[in-house]
Amino acid sequence: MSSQTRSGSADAATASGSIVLEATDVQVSYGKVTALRGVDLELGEGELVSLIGPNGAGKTTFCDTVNGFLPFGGSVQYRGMEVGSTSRDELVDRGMIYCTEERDLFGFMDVEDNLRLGAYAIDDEDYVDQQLEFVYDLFPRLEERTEQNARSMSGGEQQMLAIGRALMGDPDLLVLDEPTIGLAPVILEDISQAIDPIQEQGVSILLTEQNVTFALDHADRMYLLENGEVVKTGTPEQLRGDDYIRETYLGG
Amino acid sequence: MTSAANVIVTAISISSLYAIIAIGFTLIFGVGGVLNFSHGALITIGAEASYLLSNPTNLGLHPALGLVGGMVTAAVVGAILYLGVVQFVEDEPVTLLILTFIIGFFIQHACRVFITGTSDFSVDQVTPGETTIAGVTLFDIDIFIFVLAAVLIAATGVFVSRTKTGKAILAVSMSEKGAAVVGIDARKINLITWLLASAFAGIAGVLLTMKQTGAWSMGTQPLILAFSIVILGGLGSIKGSVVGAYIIGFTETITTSYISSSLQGFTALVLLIVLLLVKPEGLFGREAA
Repeated sequence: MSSQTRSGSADAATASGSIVLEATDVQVSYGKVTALRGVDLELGEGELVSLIGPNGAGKTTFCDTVNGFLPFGGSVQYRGMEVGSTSRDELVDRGMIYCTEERDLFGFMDVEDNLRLGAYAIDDEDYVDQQLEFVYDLFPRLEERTEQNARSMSGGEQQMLAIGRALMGDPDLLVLDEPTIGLAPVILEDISQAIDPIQEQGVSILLTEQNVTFALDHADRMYLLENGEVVKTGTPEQLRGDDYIRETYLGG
Repeated sequence: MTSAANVIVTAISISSLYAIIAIGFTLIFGVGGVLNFSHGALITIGAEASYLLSNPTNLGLHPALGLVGGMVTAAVVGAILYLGVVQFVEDEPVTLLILTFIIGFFIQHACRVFITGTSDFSVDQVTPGETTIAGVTLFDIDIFIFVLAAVLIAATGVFVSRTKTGKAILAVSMSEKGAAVVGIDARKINLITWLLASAFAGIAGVLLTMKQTGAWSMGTQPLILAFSIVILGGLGSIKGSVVGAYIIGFTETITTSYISSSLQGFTALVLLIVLLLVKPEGLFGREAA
């Protein structure tokens, strides 16, 4: 695997508008409870697609599913590979990197160890050092705390670390599950400012959010998920003008 | 006082063995969440293998080859246990507990029936003889055990804190999902842990036999002690295991030497009960290194 190859092909593929992630009729159940009822979603090269919806709509279930953590019905294709029959290591190796809502950091390890483990699947040491610098530039707070244990950091710092660790894995598609949940406005701004530089690295992003304003600010296209079903799709401009979205999610 | 010095030397040597047994036990728990009750049987396997390899009535190879053979045999059996059984029931702790207990029981009885019967057995020491330092006479085997255990403990510490694979072991122990999202194959890491822990148990089995004698049921007592030690030190903590091993080893040796040898195993349990009441998270809590 090589970051150079991937970023190089990314530029070419943007022009041809190739598809990074394609979910077709995805269904997931937990026992008798149906969490996803036939979700279709498409994410193109270099796009930031946001999946919005209330708590319990199935956003995290969708993220877990596309990253190979759950059995599902239907089809999920990442770069033409069927996720259901690909191992998780293989998905990570091919650049599908998941930043979970729970963050799942290595609590008793310091910031730098967490970040370097983010590059576990990468053998190119030069890339790792270079990307570490990119992450520290993106989140200077992390560089001030390289030797601090992850579990002793604030929620916002942990979120930066989780995103940073995901970036260390040389993502081609970054799945960000509710990165803004429970964060103070100042931190929200830090996360917000990180999105553009990440996209400039040629990374496509799937972003789930309850914070509809945040999603509207960053997304190229959006899907509204309710009760496990996609009920609306469109560009931020289209959804801003939608009465239902305005009344239900933007406070009228 | 010579006898006091000897008690201390024995305590150090025994504690060192407990430490490498407990490290294996705590690693398997920390990484896979498995309380491996077949850990004691792996000690027996190491001892029985060295008996077959180096006892003069069997193959009669050099005791060092018996030590290596005991280590390798235990590691192989441990790997088979993980690949053949444990990985399929990893998410069911109660099933695992019962299963590893029964398998351990079965292995020890198989050793009794097919290899050594009910009689004790012995193997030659790697380093027979004595050394006198400052008027105190030490058995060379005690020195050997202490040095080898110290090297193994230090090597384990360096391995988990400095190497990529070692850090991956810690990562899995801290967050399985976190490990998965960075591309660590938890199955591979679990297998490495089982190999390492079983090899350590095998080495301990051989060394216990060299120092004392071996028997088909010899793994049971150290298993109970290892359990006490890792609770004492904090489940999943390597540092805690080493400290716990020395506390238990010294308490045990001093009690059996100065009070009564019938109290063997008893003081460890008393310590365990007191600690569970006073500081249930162990001396070092749930820290993975």
